[in-house]
Amino acid sequence: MFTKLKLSAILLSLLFTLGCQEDLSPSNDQLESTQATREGETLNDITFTLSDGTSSQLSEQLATHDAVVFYFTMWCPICEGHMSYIRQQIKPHYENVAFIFVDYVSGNISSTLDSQQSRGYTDFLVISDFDNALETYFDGTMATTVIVDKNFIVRLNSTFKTGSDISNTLDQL
Amino acid sequence: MNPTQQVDMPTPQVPTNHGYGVGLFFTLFIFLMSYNVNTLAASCCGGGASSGIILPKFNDAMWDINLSHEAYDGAWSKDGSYQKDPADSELLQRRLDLSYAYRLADQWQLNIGLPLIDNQNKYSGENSSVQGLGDMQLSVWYEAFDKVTCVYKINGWESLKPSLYFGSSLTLPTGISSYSDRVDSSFDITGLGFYRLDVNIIIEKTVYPFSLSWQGKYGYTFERPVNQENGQAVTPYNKQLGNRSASIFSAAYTWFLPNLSMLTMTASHSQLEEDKTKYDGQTDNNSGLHKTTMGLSFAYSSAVRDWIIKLGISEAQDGENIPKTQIINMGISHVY
Repeated sequence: MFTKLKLSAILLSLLFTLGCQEDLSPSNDQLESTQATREGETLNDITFTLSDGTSSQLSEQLATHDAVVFYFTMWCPICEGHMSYIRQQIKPHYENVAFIFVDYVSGNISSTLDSQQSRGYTDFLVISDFDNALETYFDGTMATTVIVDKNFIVRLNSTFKTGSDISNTLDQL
Repeated sequence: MNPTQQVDMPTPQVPTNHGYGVGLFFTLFIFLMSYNVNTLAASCCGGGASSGIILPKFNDAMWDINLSHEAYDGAWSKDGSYQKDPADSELLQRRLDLSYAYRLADQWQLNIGLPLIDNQNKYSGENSSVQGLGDMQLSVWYEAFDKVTCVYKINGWESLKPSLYFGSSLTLPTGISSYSDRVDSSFDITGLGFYRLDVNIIIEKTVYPFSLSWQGKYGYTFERPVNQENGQAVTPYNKQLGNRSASIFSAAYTWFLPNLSMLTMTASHSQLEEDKTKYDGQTDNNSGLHKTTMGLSFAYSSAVRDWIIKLGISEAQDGENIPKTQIINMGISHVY
């Protein structure tokens, strides 16, 4: 019995030694030094390429809309869940807001167009971020959501969680 | 009696999609893999569990090494429709699971599982490679029987008594998660980042050469604070993955070989469900998942039943909000 207890103590020590990482004691302290959000910043105009090969600009979108919502997608199930939610639950309530999906993984325009069509999102503008310009600028990754208002001010730059962030932000415009 | 018959039964592969980054998607994979543990089924003396290994009734200790190769082939979306991966994508995870079990008392046993993970991914042309420790698991099992229950012939009601196991498993977030400062994308993760407590039950009956078993599993994931995602600080929030449940049926047939060794074939069917995720107590209606998996495996036990060699394959049949995967695994166990 003593041998077993000793062995179990060794194994538990090994377990906690190997597992001595920050996830074992997660923190909710704010980490200001590495926060990459652009919330609150006023943007210069941004030029991007759409999936049909044409170019557009942020100013062009804001000329006809009150705000632009960018959602970064990699066409995975989670992304599609979010995109479907945006289509069905958010967009209908904000007719004067442009919702644009940013394909930051496909690497070329034709692949973006293929994904857009095969996933059934031809009713949305989709940006082919083949040069990773938007991804780099907004520190974008899967589910990154950016809202820019009429005055080019970034009102939201965070990951999509439940969608309420988008609605709450748009409601405040 | 044949004391150490063990059959590797493919388990529900539960992914995760609960991180963010190229990796939020990959988190889904890790999430799956966190339920991808060896299920040892159909043994009057060994039983089976998806929470690590199960020590045969009359043995003191056991170690197990299992190597699995999981390939991803598209995914099922929230509505259950299948979508292929983008062109130029190849997602692969290899796992080396090291497990050790030992007997605490006549009807109690403890086991520890340590997974080592190798991710090799190309997604839409983007390459990623990472190796590291996964989420470790510690389990305690109670055997609600004091004699082996497998029989060769049914002689009255007494011989129909099944083996019954009750277990509890604690998963520790020892892997690299999306909430760590050691990752740049979610393809770099090797763990979920959440503590989880599972309760398990196994009911198994063997009337040689046939065996049937059912395993139920229910897991509660503890809420955790998050202040960074993929190495970037975020406004702190609390996140809690939904509770998970799994149900696994398996049926086995055993051949007794001339040298007294045994070969057992097991077919399994598993269902896995996860409830919706909560952020600061607010439900994410886009989350939650479901997966159905079918598996087939073979186990060879030596004549003395002290060595077991296992080979198996399992494939997801349908699902919601989860990648489609195929897993090939092989392993070896030593009982003493």
